[in-house]
Amino acid sequence: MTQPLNHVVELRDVELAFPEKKVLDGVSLAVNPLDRLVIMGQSGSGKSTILRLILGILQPTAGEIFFKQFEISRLSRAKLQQVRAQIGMVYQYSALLSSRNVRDNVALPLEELTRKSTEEIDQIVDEKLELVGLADSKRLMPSELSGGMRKRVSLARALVMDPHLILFDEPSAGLDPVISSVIDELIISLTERSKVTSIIGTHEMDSAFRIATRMAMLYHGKVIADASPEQFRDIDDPVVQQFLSGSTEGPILEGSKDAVATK
Amino acid sequence: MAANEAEGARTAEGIVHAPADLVAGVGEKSRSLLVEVGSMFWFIVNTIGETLDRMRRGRVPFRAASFFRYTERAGVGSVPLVAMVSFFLGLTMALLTGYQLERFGTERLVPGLVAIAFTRELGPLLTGIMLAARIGASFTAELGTMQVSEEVEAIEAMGIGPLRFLVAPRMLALFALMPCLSVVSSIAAIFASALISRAYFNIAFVYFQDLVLQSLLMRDIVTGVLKSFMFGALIGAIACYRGLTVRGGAAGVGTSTTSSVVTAITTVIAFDTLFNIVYIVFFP
Repeated sequence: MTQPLNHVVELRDVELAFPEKKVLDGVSLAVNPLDRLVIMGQSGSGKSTILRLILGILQPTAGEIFFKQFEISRLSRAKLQQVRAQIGMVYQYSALLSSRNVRDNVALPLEELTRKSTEEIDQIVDEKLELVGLADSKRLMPSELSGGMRKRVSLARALVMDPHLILFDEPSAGLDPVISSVIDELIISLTERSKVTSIIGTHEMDSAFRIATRMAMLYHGKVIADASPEQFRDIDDPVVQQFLSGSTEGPILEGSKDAVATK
Repeated sequence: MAANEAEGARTAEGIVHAPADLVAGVGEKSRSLLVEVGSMFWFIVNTIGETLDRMRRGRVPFRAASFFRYTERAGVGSVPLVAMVSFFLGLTMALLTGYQLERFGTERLVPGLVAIAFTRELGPLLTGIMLAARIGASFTAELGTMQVSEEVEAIEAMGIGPLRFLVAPRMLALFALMPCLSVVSSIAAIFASALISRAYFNIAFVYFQDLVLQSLLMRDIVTGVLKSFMFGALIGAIACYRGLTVRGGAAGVGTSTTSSVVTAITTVIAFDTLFNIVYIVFFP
């Protein structure tokens, strides 16, 4: 199968079913270069799953996933590793290697995947840490960092290989509103400056509208809305409207176990 | 009345089905054991494959510093424990066998007995058991914690092979260090036996040395070293496999660590028995 080169990522009728649950049920999405696509949805709706499918960590039950011209699920292990080096990922809880300091965490992909000298690596690490405002924290261990700092180190690590795509899993999770805004601004400035496409999975509305150039909403394993942030607020779908308003009245909680809490 | 009859029918049905349930239970256990053995085999194959892949591309599979960090932890750090336990065991063995043999006036067999037993059998086995408990548990807990905190997935997501990066240096460190520790164990036990022989059985150190050299064959030493290599690789593979397959948070790490130690010790003993049978049958 070939992939139109004007999309950085394309999902075609992707399904993913676990024995107990069908997480994705025919998801189709195309991400254009320099897009900041925010995927929204409730917890457990499949946002992180889509990011892991793009990385090839999960395999779809059906459908196709392309990153540039590569069909992710058909790549050999060695090729998949090469393709992953072009994708950066920022995890919800940062996933920094707890036994390595900040410098070593950011330097890891360069040390393992390139033939650069230590001096070159140090220079790149310094540059990326400068970008996220942590140039003076190189020797700190992850346990000594605050939540916001960890996110920023994770972002520097994702940027260090100059990727074509960065995936963010709940970038504002666990952060206070001010730090959350700082991270959002950082995402916008760094993706614009580095001219990189990004996909962000989040359920934080403020953050989503701040970052997005495009927004998609997942509900019951399907994309029920896909529009620019300006158009998104006007979508006449009760699920989208309830999600945007955060109301307990509406279709989202119908038949859900969470509905009990509202009674 | 009706309730009693129903209860009776259920008991009778239970008795009738008991043999079938037993067979089904054994079958299920055997099946899961085979699946586990198969998964572990492919885990080792994939680790070797990923490492060779990297070497074919002209890159070192992992950093020397990382390998030496594990050899220091597994090897140098284990010397006091292995030496001390082996020393005490050598002491006990020399004492117990010496007092029995003294009744027949053959206490001069003690040096050879301890030397052969430790070089060929007890040295590698004891070291294997101690390393499974000390290092295997630590590898499993470390990798398990990395697994539950998404660190392993992050490494994979960067395009770095986690088997090559995390498992290969650990396995190789245990593979390389195990024979050295096994030699330390044998030397400590023989030394303890020399002390006992001198103190209780009037065997001078020089005579003790002669007796050991007379009784010990090169074949005993080679057998012990060969076994040690295999034990090291097995313990490393089991510990890393259990660590990377942890599920269920902190409790999962605990369960996997226990399981890693139990599996490694059982496997080392089973493999030792198998090795002895094959060795004695085919190379008598």
